Amino acid sequence: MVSRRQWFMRFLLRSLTQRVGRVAVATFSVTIAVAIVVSALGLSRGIRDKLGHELKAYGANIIVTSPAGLDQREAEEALSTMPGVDEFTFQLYGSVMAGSAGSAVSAVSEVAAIELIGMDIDESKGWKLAGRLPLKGAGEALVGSDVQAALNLELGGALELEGEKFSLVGFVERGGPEDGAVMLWLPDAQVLLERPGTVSAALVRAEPGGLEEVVGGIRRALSVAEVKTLRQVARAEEIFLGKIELLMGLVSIVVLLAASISLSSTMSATVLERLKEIGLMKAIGGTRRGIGVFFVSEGTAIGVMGGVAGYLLGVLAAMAVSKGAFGSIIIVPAVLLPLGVALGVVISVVASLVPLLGALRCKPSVILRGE
Amino acid sequence: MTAFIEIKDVLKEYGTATALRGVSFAVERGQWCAVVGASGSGKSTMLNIIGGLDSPSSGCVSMDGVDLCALGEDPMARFRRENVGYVFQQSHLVPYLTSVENVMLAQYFHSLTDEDEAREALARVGMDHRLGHRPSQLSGGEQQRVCIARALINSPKVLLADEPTGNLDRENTTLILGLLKRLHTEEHFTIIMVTHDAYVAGWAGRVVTMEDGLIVKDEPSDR
Amino acid sequence: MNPLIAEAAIIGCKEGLKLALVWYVCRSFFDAYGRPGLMRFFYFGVAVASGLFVLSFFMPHDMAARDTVARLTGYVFFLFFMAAVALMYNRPGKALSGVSGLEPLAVLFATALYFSPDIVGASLFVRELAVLSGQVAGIYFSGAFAFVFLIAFFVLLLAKRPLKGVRRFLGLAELFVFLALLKFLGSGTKGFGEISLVSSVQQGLVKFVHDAAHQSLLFLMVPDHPLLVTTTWNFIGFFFSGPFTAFLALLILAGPMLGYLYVTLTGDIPIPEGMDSGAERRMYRAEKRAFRRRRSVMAGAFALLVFISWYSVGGGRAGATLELPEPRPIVPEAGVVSMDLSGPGFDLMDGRLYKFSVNLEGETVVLLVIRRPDGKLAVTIDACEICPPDEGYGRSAEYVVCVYCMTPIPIETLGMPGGCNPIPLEAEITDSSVLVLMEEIAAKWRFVTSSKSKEGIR
Ligand SMILES: Nc1ncnc2c1ncn2[C@@H]1O[C@H](COP(=O)(O)OP(=O)(O)O)[C@@H](O)[C@H]1O
Ligand SMILES: [Mg+2]
Repeated sequence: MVSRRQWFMRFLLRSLTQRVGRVAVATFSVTIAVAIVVSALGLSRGIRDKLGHELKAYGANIIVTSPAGLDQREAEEALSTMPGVDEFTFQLYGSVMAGSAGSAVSAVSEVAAIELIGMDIDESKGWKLAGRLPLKGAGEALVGSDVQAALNLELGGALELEGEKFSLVGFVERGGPEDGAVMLWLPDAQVLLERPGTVSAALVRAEPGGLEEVVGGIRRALSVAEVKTLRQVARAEEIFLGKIELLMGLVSIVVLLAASISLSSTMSATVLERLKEIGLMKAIGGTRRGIGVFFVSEGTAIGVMGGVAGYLLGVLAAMAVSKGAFGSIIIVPAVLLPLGVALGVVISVVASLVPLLGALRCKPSVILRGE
Repeated sequence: MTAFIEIKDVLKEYGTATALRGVSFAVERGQWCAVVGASGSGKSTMLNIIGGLDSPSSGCVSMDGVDLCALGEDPMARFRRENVGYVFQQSHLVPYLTSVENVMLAQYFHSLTDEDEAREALARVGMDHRLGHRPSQLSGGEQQRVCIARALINSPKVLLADEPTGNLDRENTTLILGLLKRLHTEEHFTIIMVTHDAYVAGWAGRVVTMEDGLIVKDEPSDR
Repeated sequence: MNPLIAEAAIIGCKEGLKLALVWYVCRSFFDAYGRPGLMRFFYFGVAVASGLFVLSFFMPHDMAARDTVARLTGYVFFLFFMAAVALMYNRPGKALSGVSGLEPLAVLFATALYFSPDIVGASLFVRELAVLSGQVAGIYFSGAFAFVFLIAFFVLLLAKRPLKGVRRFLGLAELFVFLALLKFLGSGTKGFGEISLVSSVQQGLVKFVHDAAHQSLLFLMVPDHPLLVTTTWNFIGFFFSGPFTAFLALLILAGPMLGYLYVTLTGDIPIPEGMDSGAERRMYRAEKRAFRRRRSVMAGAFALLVFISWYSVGGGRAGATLELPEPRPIVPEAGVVSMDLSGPGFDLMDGRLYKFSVNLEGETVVLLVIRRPDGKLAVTIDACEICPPDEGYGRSAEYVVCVYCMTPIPIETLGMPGGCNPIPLEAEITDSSVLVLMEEIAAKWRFVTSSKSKEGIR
């Protein structure tokens, strides 16, 4: 004996496979809508990860930067004599072409642009470290876990940066921007990036009580620099992120609306086509709910298919956009898969519900009047 | 004691047109009744009202002691699936389901599905060689037989048929009528059958003639 | 409104709702089975429980009393749970029958048992609130219990007619499952929620509910829910159970329900003699099956609830959740806050995260204490200079994690100032306690509140 549920699935399969064209059109609408929403969400999440937290964990509360770069000696003199400054450290940022020179298999193919951070690597700063920290002036490099995975690097191997060979002595992981970067000692980085004596930023830790005075002091001493407290940086980031998210949100809403409209016209056509079926089901004793379940399940199936396809497409789109816009790949979190599927189901069910409710209201005798 | 099926002073209006002008009519259990009359005389409308596919503008309908007009839409559907088997003029079948599956659809709405039982029902109407065929692969007569199997699957109390042979040739017509006859004599089904064909009406035990929304003649058949 | 009054009112609402719901279901149940007279004994039972409430005025409100009440709540839950299981496996689906002379007594006893721990616990809890704020208990009692009656009154108004379909969903066994379920849901509050084996499961559920609400607010970019902030802490439970205890609790609680579901949902349906038409047989089967399904709803809901709470407490993915301890309130003496290094059930040097809350001129300041890997004790404010201080930090493996921005901070860097690190406090550590000056707390707290930019970040 076939159970009721098995029979139901059989019915569903029959009705979907019998009208492949219509189902494909509807699924496609759902796919596009979900893809755009998923890529928008994925991008704004990714940007948040990229922007946020960069400096928070070093214990700094002031950051000094300059678009053209700071002169290291000048900055050092100014900061070391500044009252209220406890500590400071310099960093240089850039991006380099990297390849794993050691592996004979693919010395050429695995070349990629990655971020470079030049810094003082004399303490582990709470990193989860495999191997050891590089020694100063020894041509050694530290690599983030994402880069390691992407380039398939091995401890003790060699890393080629802009044609120069560095030996790989450690990998780090901490869930921050370091994971996607190569870290060198500051002097090495300055040589490699051909910016001797220059740094991108100074991270300063000052007495929290007198932050504003220290900021003022640094501004006066280093006129070309931008000086911000970390709190201001955080706030600026929040505002920027807020705007991006708003934009993404608006785009998503517009796309959802457009997709729902096109979907609902497809769905109404489907329901109209099948008005006779609905009347027949009523005549042989189907209740409105019993019949509605069939059609809503069909909508759900279309939503699930469109949701999965849309998620995949959205992930690809987010990757492509981030590659083009930021030169690095954003990982779209897997949580968006159930979210995308849910979204697909909701829009396709809602779209089919409107014409369906109308059709279910008709009297079977009217629908079936055989002339 | 009211009759098994009884309609009283039933009036049915469609906008300005009036399909039934106060029809009263009763059918006893086990009767085979034919309704004849010209096209547009209100036969289908009356049958639909008896079967609960439509509701009268005024008047009342009862079946087996249940007042159909008092039932809401969904209770009506529930009543229908347990008590009424319906055969239409055009064989309304779901196009993408096979014969067995079409019969099982009625089982599904009634309670549970049981494929073996559905197969048996098709065998009873001589369709055991066409179980896995779609409606488009069946002839008109075969389609109509699937419809009859579907109408009977839930052991209804009454079989309502609206021109069941309207689209069929004489040979298939005789086949279908033979089937109904067997159900009537062997299983004592109550049957109400609409037709405009005197030959078909001749198979029934009672012939009701309608004209312009009224019953004008009600007599036993010749046979 | 004074947040303490609000908290008292919420407790009152909760108890009132529970009372009203149980009353409504029981009334409908007795009605449906033709025994409306039994309701009288329900009222007697409630009266007995309320009498215990008056008694609780004369109880000391110390830890011991609270523990006792907590344990009682647990026992009562277990009693109802076991009664439900026994009924389910003895006479599945059956309802009220048997020795009619004992029924009134049973109703009275069960009702009194069901409500006593809750009422006494709520009363103790409200009194503690009053003591904490240094105000007269009476205010809070009246605040809380006015709400009890308010809610009960509203439900009475709403529920003039008994619930329909009770018979279809509830037999005696299912009624007990419902009662146990309600107790399970309802006793997650601070102070009397610590049932040794069950608490992890139940607090996990509460955390799940809270987190779901919180995450969706965050997701919708709504500012953090200021109203809920104080009470949330009462609901976020105290994690202590290892994955094993949690799993054991899961087995004990969900196992019998799942077994029952299996038996009823997959069991054979024998067809009585004399049904010859296939349609009749199908209909009989469909109806029986639908009945069994409806009667399984309660057991299913119970099992689901247990499973969700087990999962959210971390049983399903041990170690992946944040450890978020509930702050222990402490009261400064002579301008000094003193935290014992160890006591019943805790030891500040055990490497887990500890939080203490202290009242600073009307504001609640939460302190964070944890032993670093190097063996030193880090004492900080549970907030940093950047994020809003509402949630503070949780612990996950070798990091503390800012709940607001999810930045992981290595525990060995705790005590260092700046950035996302919690703001360190100067503390004196003696043989038995940790001492912090209120002045020091006030000075550092200013770092948290000084900038208006926090509003911007929110
Ligand atoms: N749904 C409808 N809307 C409007 N008029 C209808 C409808 N159904 C039937 N009628 C009218 O009611 C009359 C009776 O129709 P019907 O019962 O189908 O006749 P018969 O079956 O005897 O040919 C006809 O005049 C027809 O036009
Ligand atoms: Mg007609």
